Amino acid sequence: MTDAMTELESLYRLHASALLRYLRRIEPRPGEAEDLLHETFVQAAVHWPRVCEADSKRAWLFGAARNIAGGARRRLRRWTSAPLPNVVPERAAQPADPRGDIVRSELRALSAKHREALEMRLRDDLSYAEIAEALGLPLGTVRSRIHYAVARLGQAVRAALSASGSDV
Amino acid sequence: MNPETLRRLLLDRAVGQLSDDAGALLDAYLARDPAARAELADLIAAVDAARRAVAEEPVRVTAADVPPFPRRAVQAAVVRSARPRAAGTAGRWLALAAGVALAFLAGHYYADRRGDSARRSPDPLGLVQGGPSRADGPVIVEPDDAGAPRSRSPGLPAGIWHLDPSRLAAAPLGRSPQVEVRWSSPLRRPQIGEVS
Repeated sequence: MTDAMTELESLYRLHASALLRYLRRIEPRPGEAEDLLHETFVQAAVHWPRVCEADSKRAWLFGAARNIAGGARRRLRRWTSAPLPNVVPERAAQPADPRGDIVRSELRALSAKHREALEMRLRDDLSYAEIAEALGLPLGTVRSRIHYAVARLGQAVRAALSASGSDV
Repeated sequence: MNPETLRRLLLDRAVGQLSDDAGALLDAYLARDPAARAELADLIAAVDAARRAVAEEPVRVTAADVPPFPRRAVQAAVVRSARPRAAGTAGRWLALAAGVALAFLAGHYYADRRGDSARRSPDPLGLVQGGPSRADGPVIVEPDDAGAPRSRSPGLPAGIWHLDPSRLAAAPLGRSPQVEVRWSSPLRRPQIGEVS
């Protein structure tokens, strides 16, 4: 039991920041992400043998956080008629790089499942295998979603730059 | 190289998920294919822009934002996760015991019903030779050590073959004194037959 506690505390030190950032992204209501972060580690304690069996504990934690946040959102939808906050917040400041604009609008145009996989790779720095574990998907599905998203971003950038005739 | 394979390798390289072996293979190919190099440069530029874009979104977390480790709740969960296994074992034994008890009660009830119906049929008590009279009150009939039917008088605890005086009074006793009850075992139904 002490081993589990020690290791959980160590996992918290290592990954709490990234998990909180991830949870704030999918649950922007104030204070909610912190509760979900704690609940994620409580669930990790409850299912400790499964966490130990996972190929990547970090991926297991991300997957648990995602499921817990999803459950919280479903409960909220069931019990309140208040509109849920936007999952992907709009960016406040405008960038100087025209490529950034194109990519940003293209990111928003991606479907949720493609954007989620891509963001887990780019923002949370999870590997394909970790994303697959966190999302509960086959590795090939994760790879193809990320490939699709990146290919679409690349095409959009190329098309926009060639249309404007600039060579950025 | 197959264009589809090349495309997959370029995309994996752009997002930083290409293995060293495949990377070496791709580098060797790119050295001879400027178009593929240009495509890779575009993809890398798009991924870098996407990385910056997602990093610019207002979801920032500093060390001060992270709440302290929920030690008490996690410790309680660790204890709780260990408990269900013991509770589960105890629960299984409890269920087994409850099942046995239920089976015993059901068997007892069934035996009681059968005894009751046997009492409603031509009354075996009155047919037992030398049995008590109907005015004696509740009577218990049971096999003796040799397996022959034997009656017991009131005052003893009432069991499956208990009869109350009012029912005895209503029973058509003594209609066939030449008949006897043969009851070889309490697990078997008493047999009524003529005296041999």
